[in-house]
Amino acid sequence: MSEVGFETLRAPQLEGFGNFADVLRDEAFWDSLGFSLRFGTLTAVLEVALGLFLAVFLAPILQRHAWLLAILTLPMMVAPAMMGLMYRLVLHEFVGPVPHYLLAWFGTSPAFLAPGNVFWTVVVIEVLQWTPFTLLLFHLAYGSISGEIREAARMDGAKGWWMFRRVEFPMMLPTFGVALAIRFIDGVRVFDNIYVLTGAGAGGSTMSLPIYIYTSFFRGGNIGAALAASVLFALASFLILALAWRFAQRRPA
Amino acid sequence: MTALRWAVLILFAFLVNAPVIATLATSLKPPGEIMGNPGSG
Amino acid sequence: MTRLTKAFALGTALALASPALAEVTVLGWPGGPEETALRAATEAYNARPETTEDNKVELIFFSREGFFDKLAADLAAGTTAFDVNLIATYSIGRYAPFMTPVDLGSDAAGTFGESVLSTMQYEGQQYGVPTDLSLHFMYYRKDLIDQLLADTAAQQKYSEIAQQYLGEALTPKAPDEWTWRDWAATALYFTQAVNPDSPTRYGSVLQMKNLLFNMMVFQSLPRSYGADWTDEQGNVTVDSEAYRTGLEMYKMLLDAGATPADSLSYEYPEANAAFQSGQVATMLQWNAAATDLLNAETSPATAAATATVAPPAGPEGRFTHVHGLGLGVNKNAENPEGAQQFLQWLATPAAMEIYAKAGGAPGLTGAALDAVKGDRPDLAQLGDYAANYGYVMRGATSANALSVYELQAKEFTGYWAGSETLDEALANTTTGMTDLLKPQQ
Repeated sequence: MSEVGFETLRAPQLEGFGNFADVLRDEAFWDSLGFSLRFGTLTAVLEVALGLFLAVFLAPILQRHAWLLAILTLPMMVAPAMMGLMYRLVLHEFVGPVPHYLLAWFGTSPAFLAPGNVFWTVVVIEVLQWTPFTLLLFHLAYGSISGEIREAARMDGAKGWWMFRRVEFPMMLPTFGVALAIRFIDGVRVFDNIYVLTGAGAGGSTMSLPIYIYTSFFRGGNIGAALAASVLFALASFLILALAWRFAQRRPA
Repeated sequence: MTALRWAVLILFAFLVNAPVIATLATSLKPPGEIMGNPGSG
Repeated sequence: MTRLTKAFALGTALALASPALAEVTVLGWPGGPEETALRAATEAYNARPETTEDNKVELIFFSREGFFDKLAADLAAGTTAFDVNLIATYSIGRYAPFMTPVDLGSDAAGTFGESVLSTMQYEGQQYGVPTDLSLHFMYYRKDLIDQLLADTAAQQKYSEIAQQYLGEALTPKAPDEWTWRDWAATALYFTQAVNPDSPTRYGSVLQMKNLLFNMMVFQSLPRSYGADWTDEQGNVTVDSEAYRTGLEMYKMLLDAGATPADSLSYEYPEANAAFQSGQVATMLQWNAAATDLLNAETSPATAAATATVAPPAGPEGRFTHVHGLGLGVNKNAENPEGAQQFLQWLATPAAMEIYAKAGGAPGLTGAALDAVKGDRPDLAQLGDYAANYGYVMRGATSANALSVYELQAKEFTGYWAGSETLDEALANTTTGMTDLLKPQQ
């Protein structure tokens, strides 16, 4: 066990790498890492796919009425903790409008936060809040492809799907990489909305890596282990980001 | 096609903003009505 | 590290509503009747002619979310942002090293009674004024239970359900005679998934979120079967028949649909909202909810038909978890004398009268209780339950008590959710608790 607690915060003893060993031996750490990686991958892929589709599909409208972007990106303004709080209300069986209308229209409503559904519920919540971000990135990238390039491609007979796949998408590839990396890292380090909505979840079922760090830091009072986990997390994030940059800088020939 | 684009846009705008709208709507109701809200008939 | 704790201290400082003109800063429990009551009492204190300008009290409140964690970090960092801070029975051991004991004077025992004073004691020292007591009431729908007791056909159905789920053909009883098994049978009877004719969708609403406070609500059930955290030698005894009985009963009710399927994400507000909807027949809940649940304005659908009674009994008797909230003095306080003065005043019957009438829930006795009984009849019930049924688990005021609750919350909810077996959950809890409760070096 660590020698750093709140009681010894100002006069800790050095422990070497004992804290790191403790963390690596803790099953809950690996569970939370697994949750974070699954959550981060899934939400990043969904957000990027959806954002890309919407940016391209809605481009004719959004380029003419740019103010609509303000409405579409409004969720980004809401603090994730507030978002969690709102969904606590919205999904509640007795006061929430979602179960209310589902019951009224279909006579049944799923238990969104029951053990079998809670993972998908938090994924959908995250995707709904952050797809606007990827939409915005792709909207800018799509709009910045110069008209001359499109014109030239059109002269060569490119159109529709082929145009997108061979001309437009390759030009947005750097944005694609950056969006995926940012959303992945953001997904892995998800904290506020899940913490407010379900805490660590029944038996730790929605314990992301930051929630693990938070609970061991405070509740467990095990500061040494929490810091060790934080350091491991920071190193891993750095690696991912470095890879993403290399990917982004590999501009299409 | 334009109609479909508009439909998708409105649906998406509604979905992402739904919790904000719902919270706003609830906050405007008197406390009694919030608690009485039912799904429960 | 220091930077992080400083950030917390800074956050606390920013929570100050206005620049600190006053000289005694008090950090209270935010967002509930305790806050309203403390504001009222403080106003009265500051208005007294004896209160000098440099001893006037200013209140600060931050969020309940993570309150005790932030407080621990602040105190450990040696904060001077407040002179007086909130403490709770279950965390005194954690905060005592950073606090100064208080002298409330000999009259305090006459105001609160010894047992209530002791909720603010640690290793024989008084660390605070016990301002509020928290324990549990069984809230139930009197109209529905009366109907059941008057209807012979319904009683037949009740017995069949009890036979099927509990293996015993129980008959309906009045709530003040309930054992936990009677309560469980009642909860099943009033569940549409079990009894399609039930007037309510659910017979109960259980707070099963992975949250330490929910373990406090839960543990009176195993306690009434004789459960304790440790034996007298300090060996962890959580892997017992008593805990098994309680945990299995909760899981049975969840699986039978006697509580909403989302219950594993429910805590205090969700459970109250469910009860207030009129679709729930019984609920074990904190006494603090009485203010809202019995008020026709806040609970129009149910208030008139809602009644309260002590939690059900078990083979070892009737029990309710009890803990106190109180106010004590920060060791690094900038104005410890002013802080002591305020707390001594707060412990007088006159101050407690203001506090109680403004919505606080102090455990009072004698003349102090008589003075407020007219306005707050529930305070008599509160004192009565605390004295007769109150218990504190062995080890539940130690420095790691909150961590023990946290561990139980994770493991027990894991069992309820079906992600681990009862044996695994209890084995993990035993291992973890043994580590957390081992004597400090």
